[in-house]
Amino acid sequence: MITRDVVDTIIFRALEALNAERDPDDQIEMSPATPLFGVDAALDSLEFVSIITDVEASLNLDLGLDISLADDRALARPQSPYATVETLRQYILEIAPGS
Amino acid sequence: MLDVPKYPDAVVVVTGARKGLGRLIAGHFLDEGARVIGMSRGEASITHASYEHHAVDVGDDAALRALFAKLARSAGKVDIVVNNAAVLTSMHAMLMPATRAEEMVRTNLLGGFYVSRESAKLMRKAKSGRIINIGSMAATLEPIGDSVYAATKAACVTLTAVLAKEFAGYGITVNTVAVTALETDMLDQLPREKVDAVVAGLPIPRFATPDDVFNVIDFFASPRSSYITAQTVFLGGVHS
Repeated sequence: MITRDVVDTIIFRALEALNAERDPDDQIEMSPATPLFGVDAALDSLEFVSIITDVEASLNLDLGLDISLADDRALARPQSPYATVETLRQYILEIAPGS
Repeated sequence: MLDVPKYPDAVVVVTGARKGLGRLIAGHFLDEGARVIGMSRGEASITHASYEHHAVDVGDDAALRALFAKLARSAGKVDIVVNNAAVLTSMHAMLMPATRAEEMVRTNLLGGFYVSRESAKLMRKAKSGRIINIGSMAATLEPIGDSVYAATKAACVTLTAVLAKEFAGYGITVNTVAVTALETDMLDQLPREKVDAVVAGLPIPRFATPDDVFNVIDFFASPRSSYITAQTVFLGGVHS
């Protein structure tokens, strides 16, 4: 069963992978409020793509879930599901089967 | 001197691998030591210990996503992709059925895009990958009867250029080899006199051989070609 803690672990693991490639004084904050997308985003465009594809890959490899995080449902939302770590987690929990 | 295989540890995806040029390309990579994952709408026509086949329509996004999710768990990586799958209906524009036109766009253009997108997600982790599209001389020769086919192959050149920019940061190169006429089943769909006339008008007036194509594929796929991307190489002296 997919839970909030499991999704948080997956998202933060993806952020940690980005931090491993960043300078020590330029680390992304590990917080539910960390902005992922938009004018205040903590990520550049390549890092944003990496986060989404890393999380998709982990949902597939760790949980056997084939979920697209960039499908029509996500793009049609008035509020972007990618705004922060928290909104991304909420979106995954909403669309994942068995959540 | 012993020949050293060019691709001993590589996982190579070849679309349209059941027949024609795709089957030849898959065979080339197998001969050079690669593990080949072939895709086509039909069943496998290659039997080899290092070959696995998946019957899938590359224009079916959902099916393709599911297949690549499976490959992520089994193969774990993709080093080289050859987007070869294509369909051709040659017919005057006023007679072309919408179903055939849409099939060409879906397979020749969107199929290559979907396969590149899913492959790049796997290549990204390794910070290395080679995506090689099979283009056509039709993109620049613009033959009568091939309006939609030629347009999809011209779009392939643009797709190559944009994907090259988007994937460069991940160490993935994207290039196209635009082939001239080869003796394959696809050629059988065209009037022979029309093909002969086109070939006679080429700067090098002969049919392409499979090795002409392999030569460019090997160049694009080489580890030494990490600084070569967004390029389209036309065979036979055709140029844009």
